[in-house]
Amino acid sequence: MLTTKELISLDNHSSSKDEIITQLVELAYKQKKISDLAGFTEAIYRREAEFSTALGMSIAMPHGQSDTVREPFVIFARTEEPIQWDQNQVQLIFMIGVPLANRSDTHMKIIASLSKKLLDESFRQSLLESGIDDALRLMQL
Amino acid sequence: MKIVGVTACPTGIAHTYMAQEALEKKAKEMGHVCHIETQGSIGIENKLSKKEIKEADVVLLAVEVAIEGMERFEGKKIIRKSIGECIANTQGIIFDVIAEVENS
Repeated sequence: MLTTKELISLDNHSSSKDEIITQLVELAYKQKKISDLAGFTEAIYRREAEFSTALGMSIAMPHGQSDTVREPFVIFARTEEPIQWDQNQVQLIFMIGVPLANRSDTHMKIIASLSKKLLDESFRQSLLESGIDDALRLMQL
Repeated sequence: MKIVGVTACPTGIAHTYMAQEALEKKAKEMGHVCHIETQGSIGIENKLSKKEIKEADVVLLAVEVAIEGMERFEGKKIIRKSIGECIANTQGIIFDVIAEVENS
């Protein structure tokens, strides 16, 4: 499972891109998904620098590919209020971590299908309205 | 119009696939035939056939990294767009591609 209850943060009070990135990286660290806070944070920002992972639809998908990742994971966070993420306002944040080596196609395919599903407005609406149990169910693809 | 294309983003984790889905869906909605190959973390998927490439009016490349098989598109009309725009403004991108083909 890429997402567990512990990796879901609903009603998140973060008010900026940097704040929520810091917070979610810490969550990944606490849940033992990554071995190094600074190393993974750097991977996230390196990717953001290529082009913003917020491309409309109220979504941001910060992702890091790094050997600091112990096992692939997807954190789902929903902020209480929309926050500014580069050029866009976002409320649904998916932080993805994948290791550089030893990653299975299965996990990569799950992440690919989540990315595709996020284009579906009704899926996004469900994520905006869901409680923790429904959110977890929606994230199990 | 028949569109073929390739998507490939810097990490090949998320946007490669998101752009593929967005482009194929929107193009179909707009009455076009569209087949997009992904070159991402899983390797090449949804691979374009020789026939599809041959019959295509245009090749849309939304690639932020070097891709495999560029020689397949020799002699074809190639249009490059940013992968971010393909997701954020899918319909606008398809309009642009069609206008560019029609005006060439």
